[in-house]
Amino acid sequence: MSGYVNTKRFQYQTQIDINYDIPVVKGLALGVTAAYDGQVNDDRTLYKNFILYDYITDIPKTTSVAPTTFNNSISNYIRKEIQTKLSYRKSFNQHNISSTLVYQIRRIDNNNVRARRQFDDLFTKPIVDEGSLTNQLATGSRSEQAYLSFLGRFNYDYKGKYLLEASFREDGSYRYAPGHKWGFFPAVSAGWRIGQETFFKNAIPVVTDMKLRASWGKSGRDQGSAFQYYEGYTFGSVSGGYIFTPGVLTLGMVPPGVVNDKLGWVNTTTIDLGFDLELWRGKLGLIFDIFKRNENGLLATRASSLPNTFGASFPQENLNSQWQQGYDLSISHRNTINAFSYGLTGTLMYSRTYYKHRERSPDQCTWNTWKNGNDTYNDKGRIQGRVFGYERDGIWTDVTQLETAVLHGGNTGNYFMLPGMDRIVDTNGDGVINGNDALPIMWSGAGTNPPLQFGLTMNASYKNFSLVIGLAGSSLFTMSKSRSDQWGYGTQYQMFLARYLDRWHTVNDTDNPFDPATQWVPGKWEALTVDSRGTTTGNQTDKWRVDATYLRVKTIELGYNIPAQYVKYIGLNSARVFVNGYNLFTFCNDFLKDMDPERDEGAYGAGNTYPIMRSFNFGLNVKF
Amino acid sequence: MMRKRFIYLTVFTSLLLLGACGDFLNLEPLDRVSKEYLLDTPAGVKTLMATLYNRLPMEDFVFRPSGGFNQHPGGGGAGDGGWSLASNSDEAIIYGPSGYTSSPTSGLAGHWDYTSIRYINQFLVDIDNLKADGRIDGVLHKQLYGEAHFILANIYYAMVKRYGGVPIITEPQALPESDVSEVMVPRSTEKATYDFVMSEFDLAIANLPDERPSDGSLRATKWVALAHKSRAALHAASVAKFWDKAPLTGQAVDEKLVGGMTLADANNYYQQCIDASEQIIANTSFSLYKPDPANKEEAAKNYQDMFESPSYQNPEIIFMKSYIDGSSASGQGHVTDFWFYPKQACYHTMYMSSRWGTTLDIVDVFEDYTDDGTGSSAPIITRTDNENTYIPDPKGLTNDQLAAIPFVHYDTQYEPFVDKDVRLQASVLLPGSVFKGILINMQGGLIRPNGKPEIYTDAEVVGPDSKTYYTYGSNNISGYSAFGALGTAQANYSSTGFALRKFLQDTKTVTNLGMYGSTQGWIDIRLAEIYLNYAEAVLESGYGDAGLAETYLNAIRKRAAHTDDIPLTIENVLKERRVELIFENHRYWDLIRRRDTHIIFGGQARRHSLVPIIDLRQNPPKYVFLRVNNYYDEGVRGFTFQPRAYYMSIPGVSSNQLVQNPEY
Repeated sequence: MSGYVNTKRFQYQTQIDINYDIPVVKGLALGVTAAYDGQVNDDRTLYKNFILYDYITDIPKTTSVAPTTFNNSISNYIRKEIQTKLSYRKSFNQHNISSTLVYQIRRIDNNNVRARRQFDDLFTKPIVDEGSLTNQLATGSRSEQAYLSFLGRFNYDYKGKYLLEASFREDGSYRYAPGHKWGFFPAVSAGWRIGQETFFKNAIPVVTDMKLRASWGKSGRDQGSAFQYYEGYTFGSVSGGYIFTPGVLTLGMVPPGVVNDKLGWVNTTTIDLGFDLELWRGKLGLIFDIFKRNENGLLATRASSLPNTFGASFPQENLNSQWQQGYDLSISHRNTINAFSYGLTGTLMYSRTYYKHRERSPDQCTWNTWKNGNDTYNDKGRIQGRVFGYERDGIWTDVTQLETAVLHGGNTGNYFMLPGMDRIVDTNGDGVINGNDALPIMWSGAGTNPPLQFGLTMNASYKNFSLVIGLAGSSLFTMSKSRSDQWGYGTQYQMFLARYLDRWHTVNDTDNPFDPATQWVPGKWEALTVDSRGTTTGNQTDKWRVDATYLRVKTIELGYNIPAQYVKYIGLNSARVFVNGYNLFTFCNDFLKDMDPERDEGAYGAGNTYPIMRSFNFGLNVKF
Repeated sequence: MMRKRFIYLTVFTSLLLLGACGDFLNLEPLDRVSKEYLLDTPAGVKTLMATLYNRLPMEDFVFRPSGGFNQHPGGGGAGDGGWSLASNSDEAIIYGPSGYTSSPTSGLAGHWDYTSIRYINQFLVDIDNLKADGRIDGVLHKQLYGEAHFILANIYYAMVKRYGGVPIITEPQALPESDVSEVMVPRSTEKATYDFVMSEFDLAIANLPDERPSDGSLRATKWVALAHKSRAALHAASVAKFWDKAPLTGQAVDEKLVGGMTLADANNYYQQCIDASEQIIANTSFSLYKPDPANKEEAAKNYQDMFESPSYQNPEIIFMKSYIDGSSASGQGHVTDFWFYPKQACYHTMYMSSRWGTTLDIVDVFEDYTDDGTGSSAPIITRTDNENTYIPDPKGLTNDQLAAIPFVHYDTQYEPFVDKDVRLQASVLLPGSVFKGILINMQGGLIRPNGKPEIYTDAEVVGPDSKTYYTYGSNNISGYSAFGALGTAQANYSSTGFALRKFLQDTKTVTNLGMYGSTQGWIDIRLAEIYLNYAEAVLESGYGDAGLAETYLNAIRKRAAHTDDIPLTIENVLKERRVELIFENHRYWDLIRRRDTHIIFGGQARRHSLVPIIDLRQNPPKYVFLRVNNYYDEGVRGFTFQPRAYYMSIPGVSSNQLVQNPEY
């Protein structure tokens, strides 16, 4: 079988910058930037047909499975941007002022055309015209986007000690209805380099610099499908058409659903307080921030359902809101000893996201509110990433224990339970283990954004050598690994890793596992079953959902600057050779070693995401 | 120099700024078209109409009883043996590999199509606004207005047939400001809903044109609306008159959301049916197709031709739907030939095909040509004593039981059907008939020379004439078309001894291995049905002209080469209806509207099969026919139709707060 997929991408970026210092007023400057960027894609795919042969007689099937098909798709993406900027800068008496006003327009056009033809008998070349007209397909579409923005910024500082900045953005997007197109986003921040104050310098000489910062700002995103306010008909599918003239299909135009002109920008308001500290002229540095971010106007549809006599459903609206708060800490150390200089920076970030309003239908009881609602777990609101799980209390060692034990839910009771399986705590005491016994005791990675993230960067240089080591990791979250490490079709084709062979099993292979008289050999894992129906295997306990704290060595790079005298002989200004490696080691729970804790849990919780790859590079940087 | 640059820059910047005014953000979506644009040209109007007509609830080839209208599953998934509303009644049995594709008690898929109603209401508002603005002229507005109301009438009719009274919404609702209860509309009574259907049809009739558009397209005319009104009025009248045959109790009954109509209401609807039918009949452009055949052979051919390739050249067709090859335009063909060819003529090896089985019950209804003026049915003669008892399980027959049956012996499989109504041989594939040049073999058993029966089980026996005989008449699995491998997934055969002939392409070759290759049109409504509606309405109400009704009834029979006149009685009219409109998706609704379903399918009723058996007890061997309960119906112990199933369960009552139908 042969064929290929060939993708070509051509990207170009052009930019013109014109700056003009206005002669009359000193410090006033006008600038115009125009950019014309684009990308052209040319994708070609060839599926070659193949002949099937009878396994025993080697006689070929006279008809091939599918004809050779050639597919060519060309798309063109163009972005045009023009920015005019007026800036003013002035200093007097140690007061420094600078301000900027920007007006920006941007327009994006995207179009693509695709052609596909098959080759009935003879395949000549992968060129569309050489294919046959049977089943030929041509598709094409176009889209456009437009944005307009006004920005302004004003900076003031006195002696470099007292800093003030105020800015605003007024953004307009094509996406929303007239009257909702614009969003206004101001921001203001202030800083005080207290370390430069004379009283401070004299009092604590150890501190070489200290700065206090505070800021408040709004920003926005434009989200949601565009043109929901537009009352236009769209093209229906082929099955939505009608045949008015025998042999000719008329495609139908479909009316819009409920027209929605209320959609607008999603707003985010951020407050940040922080300080920077530098001690012993850089031997110890500290940066600390504490922040809170409110997001309003996230998209959702109204949850109270319209009756089915209405004939349409609620459109998208800006209904949901959530907020995040946390802190950010960075500690650094720099030093130079003769020709050897080095630095270390450790960072730590902790944040949690809380849901304030999430549209949903009214709860039928307070228990539902606790389980599914927003206002739960604590007085702040529901925290993103909380996962319901079960508590375990040891394992079953004997089938007779199960005869009088709490029932494991479902309609089979304890019928399928075997030794080695978890004894799950019946938290609500109703005698049955089912979803009602789950408690919010675990944290998920919340979409690759675990609550605690940390990293460490180390760099060192000695004469012409340089070394950089980077580590990153996260903590305070769990990842779920499903029991069937390779998801087969249906429940009967599961395959297990060899590690599960260390399990509870009967002494003889043919023993009836459900017979109380059968002898068992203990093991690490529970007795294996073809599928986990009616058992506790696979329930979300800390056995299957483990702490996913990890530390990964992300980068190690060693470089050498070839001394200038040798380089000049070749006519270069400088040259540097380096060797580096990315994603070299990961330290994490053994159980998750074949998954990637840095990424999402993977399809079906089975770690089906393609594993991260270790890479090694070596290279040469030259400057002319 | 500096000044020049300054001037250039200012000019340049101002040009840029001018170019980007407020309108810059007012883009229009490229994938949408405004309604003004669409209504400006006839082609644009057609695309709007295409969506509306697509939502016309026509029970045609692509109507799946358990799935709904316009069923075009993609890929290889049409697949469960094929479907037809005929198998929800006593006309046919289709048993797929996973069971009945639909059965008398499996019920229909719901049709709660308020989305389409909203579209059409919005459409009506739009065209009114455009007319007020002068964008479209009065003639176009009138036609669109008529078509929209025609489709609305049909949607409400499809709903009231299934549910009884439903909420009537005549304007597109706006989104509720605060509380969804603002947009809740309660159910109207059944009578009010039927009245609304009639008034919508009247609006359509008043506004639709007399002739089809000049581009020949298959759009509704005044006559189509009249024909549908005739059908809907007859349905309403029957429900009103016969409701008490299957009374129900409950809140819905108390509020008259179901039932609650009087005899006066019934007669009113009968009168509306009569008026509508008379108008159509008076229009001389409609007439029966080839009403005077020279002989029976010609009559049979005419009748079959009418369904094999329907077209508007046929003056009998009032409204039909067209299809195109679905292999290139996915979702626009149908699968009738693919699924329902008999096994012997099946041109592909898809494992779920050829399972259509026409019941013996409907075959027995057809007359023969004794033509003695009574119009009585001529059931198939299988026994010399004419006692038509049914064997529940032929596999369990003993030699003695078999010996006790006084069979009539026939030389060929076709002999019992020789002088039967030509519509039988044109609609039903009979054993011993010829289809696509193949002699159809429906044999299901043999009787050994020693008297032991081998029915439904494979056997190879040497007959008294030293020839080898097989149970099914052949030892090649594609050599017979019925009773093979019953109860297994390989049972790609009729289970009744009869198959389908109406609609199938006998003279044309269908080779499309991809599904949806069938393109013969579906006749939605034709003049013969109008005659029958008229006759039934006249008889049940006493209004109208009984003499004319009798003429029409006999005209239908004359088209089938009968030579006598039969009297106008309700039995004759109903019998003619079954025989003439067989497989056209009428029987199910006829039983529902006359409240006969629970009588026909009461007390675990089975449908019946006729098994041709070769009798090797004499030389030369001859055929005998055994009346049996259908194998599958017997296996599920028959069907009992519950009266509550005359109405379907209202969907979504928890959110729309409507009153549910009785006993749900």
